[in-house]
Amino acid sequence: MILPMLGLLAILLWVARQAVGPLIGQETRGWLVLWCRRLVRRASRSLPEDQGGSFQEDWLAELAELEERPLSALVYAIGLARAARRISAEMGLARPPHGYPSLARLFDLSAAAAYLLLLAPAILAVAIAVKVDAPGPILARRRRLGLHGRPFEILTFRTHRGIEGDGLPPTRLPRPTRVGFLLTRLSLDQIPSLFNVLRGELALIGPPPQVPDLRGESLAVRPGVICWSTLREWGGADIDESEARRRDCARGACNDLRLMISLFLFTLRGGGPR
Amino acid sequence: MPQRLTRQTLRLLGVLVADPCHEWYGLELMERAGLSSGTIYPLLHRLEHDGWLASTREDVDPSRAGRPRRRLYRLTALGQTAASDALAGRPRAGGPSPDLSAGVIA
Repeated sequence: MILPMLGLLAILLWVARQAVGPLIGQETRGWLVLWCRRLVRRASRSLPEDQGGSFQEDWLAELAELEERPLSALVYAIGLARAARRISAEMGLARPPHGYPSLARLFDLSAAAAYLLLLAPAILAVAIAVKVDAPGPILARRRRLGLHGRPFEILTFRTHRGIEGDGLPPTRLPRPTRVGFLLTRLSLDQIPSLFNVLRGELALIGPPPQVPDLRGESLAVRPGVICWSTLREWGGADIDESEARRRDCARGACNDLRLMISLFLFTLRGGGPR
Repeated sequence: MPQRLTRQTLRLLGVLVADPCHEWYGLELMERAGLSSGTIYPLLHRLEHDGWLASTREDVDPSRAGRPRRRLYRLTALGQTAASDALAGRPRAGGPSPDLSAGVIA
């Protein structure tokens, strides 16, 4: 019963494609080209006035060469958004005018909120465990430097006895609590940093936040909970230190997506924090 | 002038050095070096800014040709020596030495 129906459907589709296909093909091609030109204009608009016009002419000219191959033209035009972002970054413009940072922020915010909701019972349990196990506050606050060197307090579950505010290497090593030891092993102590993400001090993915006394130059990207350097330490990324550092400081959705995919695959393979 | 020599930069330099007197369209360089538009234009911009490349608009009349004028890129003398140095792995005076462990031209 199904088979002949599928066959009929296939025949109908084929007929439709033969009849309407060339017509649509032509139309679509035209629209695609117009769309590409629009993308080019949008990309060059994000560059400074005098330069933007020159880039626009250059890129439209190149696009004209690609109009015979609409798919290549599309890939070309889409890539130009990235080109414009990087060029304006090189020109030293303070922030890129379009979307990605706010999109990333939206993503971080929603993901952090979702995680917190999901983990709420676990968070409660851990909080009780920490409180019961050793006297002292549930959360440890440490001073860190975030975006553009702005200081903030990163929140983690308290895992040691007698640690004070600021996270500088203490002279006398505080002893870990029993619960604290478990939390560190399972990496659960980092969970409260999701609150920092909600507050905008941290992102989900980014370079590690800087310790105040040891800082180098201030961060141009929001520091994150997960970064390539961490993944590399866990053995999930086959790159060396300088490459990890470079990727950490690179902004861009592709970079972050790559990290998420690597992290996901790594977790599937049974990897985890060491 | 320190130049960040990524694997992609080296690929592009390889293409340029192979035919130093030729004037290239951006598209040609894209295809020969195997780089995307998002990569090549920032690169070309940086190389031009540092004096390794010179660019000109092609000498056509837009209304006659039916399209805007395209930009042509050419290696400068400085660019030629700098690029050959970079590809050979020699550290430039006053600049960082390139990390060639990433591999050179395709």
